[in-house]
Amino acid sequence: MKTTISLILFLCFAGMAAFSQQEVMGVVRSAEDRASLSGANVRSISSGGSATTDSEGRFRLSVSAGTDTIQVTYIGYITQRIPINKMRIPETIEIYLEADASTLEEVVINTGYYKVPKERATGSFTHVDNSLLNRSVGSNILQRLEGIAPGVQFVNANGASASDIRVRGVATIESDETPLIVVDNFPYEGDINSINPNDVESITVLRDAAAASIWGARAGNGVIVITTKQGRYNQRAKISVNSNFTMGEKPDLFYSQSWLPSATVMDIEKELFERGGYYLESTNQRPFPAYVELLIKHKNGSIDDAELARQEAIMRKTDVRNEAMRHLYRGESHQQYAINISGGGERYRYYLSTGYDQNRSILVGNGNNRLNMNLQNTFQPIDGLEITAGIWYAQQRATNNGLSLSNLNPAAAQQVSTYVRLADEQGNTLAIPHERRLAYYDRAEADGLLDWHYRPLDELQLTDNTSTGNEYRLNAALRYRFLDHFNLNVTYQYLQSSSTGKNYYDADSYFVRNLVNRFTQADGSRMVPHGAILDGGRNTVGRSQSGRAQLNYSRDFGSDHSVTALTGAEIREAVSESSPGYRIYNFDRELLTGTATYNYNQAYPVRPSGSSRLPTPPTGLTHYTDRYLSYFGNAAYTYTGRYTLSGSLRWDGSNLFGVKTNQKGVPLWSIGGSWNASKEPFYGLGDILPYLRLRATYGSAGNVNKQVSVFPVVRFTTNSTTGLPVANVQSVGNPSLRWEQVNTLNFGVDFASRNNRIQGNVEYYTKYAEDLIGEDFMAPSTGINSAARLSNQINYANLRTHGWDVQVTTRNLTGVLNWQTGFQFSHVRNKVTHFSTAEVNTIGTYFTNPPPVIGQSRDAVYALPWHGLDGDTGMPLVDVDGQMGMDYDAYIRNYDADKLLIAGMRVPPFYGALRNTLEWKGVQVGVNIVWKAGYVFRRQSISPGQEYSTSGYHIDYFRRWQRPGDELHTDVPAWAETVQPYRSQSYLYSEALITDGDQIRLQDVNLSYDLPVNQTLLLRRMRLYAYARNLGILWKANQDDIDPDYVNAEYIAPRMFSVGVQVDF
Amino acid sequence: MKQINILLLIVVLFLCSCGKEFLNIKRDGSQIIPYTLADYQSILDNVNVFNFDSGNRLAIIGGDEYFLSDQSYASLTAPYEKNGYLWGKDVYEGQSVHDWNIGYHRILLANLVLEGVDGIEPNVDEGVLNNVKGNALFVRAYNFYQLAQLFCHPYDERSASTDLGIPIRLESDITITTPRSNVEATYEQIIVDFREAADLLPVYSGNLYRPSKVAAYTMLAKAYLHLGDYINGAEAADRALALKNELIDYNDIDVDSDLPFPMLPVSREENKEIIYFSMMSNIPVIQVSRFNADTILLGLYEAEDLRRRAYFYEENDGRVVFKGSYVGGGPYAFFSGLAVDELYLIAAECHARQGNLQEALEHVNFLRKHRFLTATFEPLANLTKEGILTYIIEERRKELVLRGNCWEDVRRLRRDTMFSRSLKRIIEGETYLLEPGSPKLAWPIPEDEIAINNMLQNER
Repeated sequence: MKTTISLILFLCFAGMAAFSQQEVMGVVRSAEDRASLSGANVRSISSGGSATTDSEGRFRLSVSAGTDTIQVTYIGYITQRIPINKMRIPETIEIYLEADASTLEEVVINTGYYKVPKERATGSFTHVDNSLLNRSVGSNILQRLEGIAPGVQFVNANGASASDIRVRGVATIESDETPLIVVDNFPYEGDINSINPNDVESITVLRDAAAASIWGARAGNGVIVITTKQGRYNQRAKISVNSNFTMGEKPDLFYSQSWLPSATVMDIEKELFERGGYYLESTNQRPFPAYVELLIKHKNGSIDDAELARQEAIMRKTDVRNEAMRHLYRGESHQQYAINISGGGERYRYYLSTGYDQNRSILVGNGNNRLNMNLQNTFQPIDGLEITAGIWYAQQRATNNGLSLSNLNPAAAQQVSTYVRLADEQGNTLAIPHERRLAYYDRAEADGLLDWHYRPLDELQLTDNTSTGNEYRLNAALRYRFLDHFNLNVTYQYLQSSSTGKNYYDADSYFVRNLVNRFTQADGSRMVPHGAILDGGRNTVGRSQSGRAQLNYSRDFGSDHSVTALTGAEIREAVSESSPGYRIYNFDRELLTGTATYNYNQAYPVRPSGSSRLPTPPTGLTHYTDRYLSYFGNAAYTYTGRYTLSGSLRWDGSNLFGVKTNQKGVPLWSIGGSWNASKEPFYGLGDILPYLRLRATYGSAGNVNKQVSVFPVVRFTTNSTTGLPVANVQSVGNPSLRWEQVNTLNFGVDFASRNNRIQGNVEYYTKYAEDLIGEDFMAPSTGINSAARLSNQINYANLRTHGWDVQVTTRNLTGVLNWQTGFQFSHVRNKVTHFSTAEVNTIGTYFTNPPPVIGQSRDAVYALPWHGLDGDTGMPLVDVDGQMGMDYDAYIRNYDADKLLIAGMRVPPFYGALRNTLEWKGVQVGVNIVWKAGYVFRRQSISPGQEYSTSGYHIDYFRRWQRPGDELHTDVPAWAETVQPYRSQSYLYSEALITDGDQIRLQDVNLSYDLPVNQTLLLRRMRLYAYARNLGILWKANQDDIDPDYVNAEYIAPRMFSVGVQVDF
Repeated sequence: MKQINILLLIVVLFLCSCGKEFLNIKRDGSQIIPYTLADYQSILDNVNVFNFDSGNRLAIIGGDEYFLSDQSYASLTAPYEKNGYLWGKDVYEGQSVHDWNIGYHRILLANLVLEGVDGIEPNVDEGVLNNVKGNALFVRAYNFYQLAQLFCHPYDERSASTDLGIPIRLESDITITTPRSNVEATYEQIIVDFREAADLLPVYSGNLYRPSKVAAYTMLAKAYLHLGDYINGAEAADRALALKNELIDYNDIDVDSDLPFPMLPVSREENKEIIYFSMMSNIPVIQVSRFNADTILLGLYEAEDLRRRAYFYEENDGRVVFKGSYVGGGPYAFFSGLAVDELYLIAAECHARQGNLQEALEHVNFLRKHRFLTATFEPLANLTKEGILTYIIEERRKELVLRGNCWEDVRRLRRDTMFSRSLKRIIEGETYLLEPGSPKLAWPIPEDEIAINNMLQNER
């Protein structure tokens, strides 16, 4: 960036006598936020005298009489020279220093335990600063990392929780894959959605062992450190207000290909009906499609030909997706308001903020809001002692009354028929098949029962499901600086989060009517009263307490040696419990009365068949306690700013680990080194690459699996039949259980060209994940088998992950028009190096839920080879013992799993982003393009006879082989009367449906305008901005109209547009 | 500096000293490391594992008390049902086998309990200790017995010491693998366990889901009957009958009701006939929409036999469906446990085989009296040994419907000149036969077991 100097002098004209020496007074402030800068050096060029600004930024300096120049220097800011005219010496000079863009790049990284200038860090960090975070708009903080942080991969598009994120691939097989989230220096156990992004200052992603191993046994999946905003000393109150509004488009339900037009669905249903034997009346009244009910009525003679034709015509015109888009779906909207005030005096600083988010979800009837409040105070009662206390509060409320398309399915694994209609022309809501036959429900009222029909649009009004979450976080910290180089840090954090939910079912809701009818006895007596039902009181509470004592040491010996070190201990306990809540029958919302006294042990005959007890109120409580005790240390030594050596050590104990592990005390550790080659006297590339630094680290971090138990344990429940306590054996125990260990080797190069025109870094890493928890397959006669819901999980499996992360930023144009390009490239692959797999796995599981296989990636997609369709029958050809044929049973049953094709990777091994930012006179346009490559997905299709089964429709129905010759241009097999599972598998799991996932998409576009603001006014900044995301695909490899990010989705996340304003005072 | 060092030392010492206790806490509050007798009793009280998921599905699938239409057969998906129904050569197609898995899982739990109570301090209530121990022994033997009925060839005294048995697992240590024993050793273990259980268990254990002395004697009788040891069989059955002998009189219940018996009875007051409760949930092959009671079986019931009405009902499409007998919950789950009716029939057969015709006749008549319309009931009389046995074998088919006895009797009686019979299936016009001498009277050992444990497979 071209160096621009902004100097604002407020000149008060006052006649001054010209003496040979005279004193000037002034104050030095930051131009950006007008904060006073203490410790700045102010020097008189001609006299040589100098002064340092005090804690309020003030200085006094003797200057030569006559003309002189003073020079002001401050680290991180551009040095200014200010001429002093003897005739016009102002009373007080106010000097505003502009931040130095090039030195700002040398960010200070917060690992949660210590802060280190990136210059001196040996490890691999991704730092996302405030301006980058604020490119995007939204209520979730993690979502903002998508496409801007190299090495951070979103496995699910638009993901908003840690489980959607992979930091540098995976390092585990069966345990938790989510990275550790740290908020303000402690692991965060709360709901990530309760964090207000406006309170976040920066995010640092710790990617390698040297960066993460300080987090020990939980750092194996990478660590995401979120740092919130703080006030500063000696800064006048700064107020920042931010408000924005986001509007989303209505989803397009016609995106999914797993549908057939109404007329076709009707033809299929009619054919099945006429075939007979398919729609058989059953005692439990399994639902038939509405059209079949119509055909039955017609056959019985209860409707005539004309009526049938009339209703058929309506059905043919109807499409349930249109119906759903009209009545059940809408565009989302989000409103966000946030305000924060920060500032400080000499011995006091504060940060105060509040925020409110109001979100309307894509389903009519769903929405949520969030209120955040946050206050942090820091005092310095005596020099060197700093006390901080902070409180965060977040409240979230949600309503969940919406119905999605899948809620219209009549029963599990039965797709709703396309012609289903939700309301007629007059707006009357209509009944659809649900749980039992329409014809059965038609009879209900004649049988003395309540109306039993299910009308989705009525249900939207008749249920009221709400949930509320509260979260408090209290921080207290004491920092004591002593003996010049030491500082002791004692920190405590308490976090409590609770959530509770309520479901209210109106007396007229299907839920209530269904329950009443089911339990209506032959004599007409009702075992369940016809009144509203309230399920409430469900409660989940999480409490965590963390304490840490840490001693830091930092000292420079002469100008060449610099040492920093820290050591400390940490203790944590996280308790989470849930209580079951209650059910009140015959609930009166006005009077708050109801009843719960029923005989839950009595079995009643129920309709349509069988017998059952009344649904018992829930009784299960849970209580989990996680405890950790850790000791840690970290040290770094830098010589002449050129060589840095770092190391860390951490010992972890936990009640999750076995006694043997806690006793052993095997530490997790790391070492690292960096070499700033460009500072060497012999460095010859100073002209081209003035900055070049090499880094290498190795070390270990862990990952814990909370599902595995150390002890032989049983879980108690009460059996509803015998009323006796029952012990379910959960585990036979594993006293040697320990964390999984991830050893990471990392090499990195940081470089910058002259004037930082091109700067960036390249990193290569290998992660050796060892001692991974895996199911050890046992002979079923040991009693450990699939019937047991009891597995033997031990630390034994290994996985290797390696990859590259490249990040390059170029300043293409500087000046009035500023053009900057950020380029990211990541490559990651993993391979299972040790795992036991049951040899008798049927190959089916390789397609639906692939087991880990030695030598293969955990993300491998398996497929059967494809030999095309038989020219005479249109059925898939399969190769049995070298013979092409159609013996599917022999083919699939005898298929050797080792011979399956690896069709590709499920998760992109290559991904990256290209971000261009243009800036001109306060107008900024940013466009982020992300790309993913080298991966595949399995497309859905239709197999012979599939339309007659419950596994679903697909538009490939129309691309079927129909006559000889079709096999030349289609892979979709011919029609068949019934499904043969093996024949279906031969096609559905074949290469023919493996589809290239490569894509380039427009992640988002951001536009902002900084209004020119007269800085003398109270207003410091006013920014208008607009933002658009989910803008869609620019290019994709597949020709099948499938968005690779939304392969099996009902719809693509709709485009979202935001506008907002930010005002700083 | 010194003060700080001391301060830090104090902090570290504090953390270290509390460390061991601090970390020694269970993570999940509802998880317990079992160590009391009550804990072990609760493991055995897990009715979902021990009573509600009968481990003899293959005995039901292989028996001929029901048949499937071509259409219902075609819509089956689980290989063990599809192939099992036709006694195919490859039954499981590589899939794991429920009966084997559940059986051995229960045996593991029984062994865990047996080892656990061994380490319990002696000053506990001996009655409770005996109950827990007896319960575990019963469960272990009960499952050995069921596994033997499915996976071993029927007992043949001439080759029992060389015929392949089941793995006899008597330890809970999962790192030990156990090879197959022989049939002789398998039944020896079964008899030993049941005998010890009979000594330890009380006459009634408080509910029908826990085994009792009566249950242990009944199982002993059942095992001896299979072995052809009628003297011991009669003795065990008589001992059981001395303790429990009441039958439900079907004249006193509404046999035409959908639910003629109380649903999921817990105590002996609710159902006086049940000795040990076990049920089979409705697996697809026998689910209501497929079930067709075998017409020959239905033909065996005489007009005034109330069992035809108490056990079966007719669906709208004409299929005759089993009501599930003593489970009492309709056609969704079948009773597969032990009841006094079976005890009478075992006693009768053991006596008849020994020539004690009078006693045999009394038992059969007592049972029939409770099953036939009182008004027209006439006791059987003046029958030869063969005549009585014919009645007994037939009564077994009519009385013990879909409990697994059909399969067991076909195996047991394969060499009996009078009562051996072939089973027959017809699917898509093709006839499948299971003949008395067929090696298919033993199901194959699960393939996953063989793959890991490397044991010998049954010839088929």
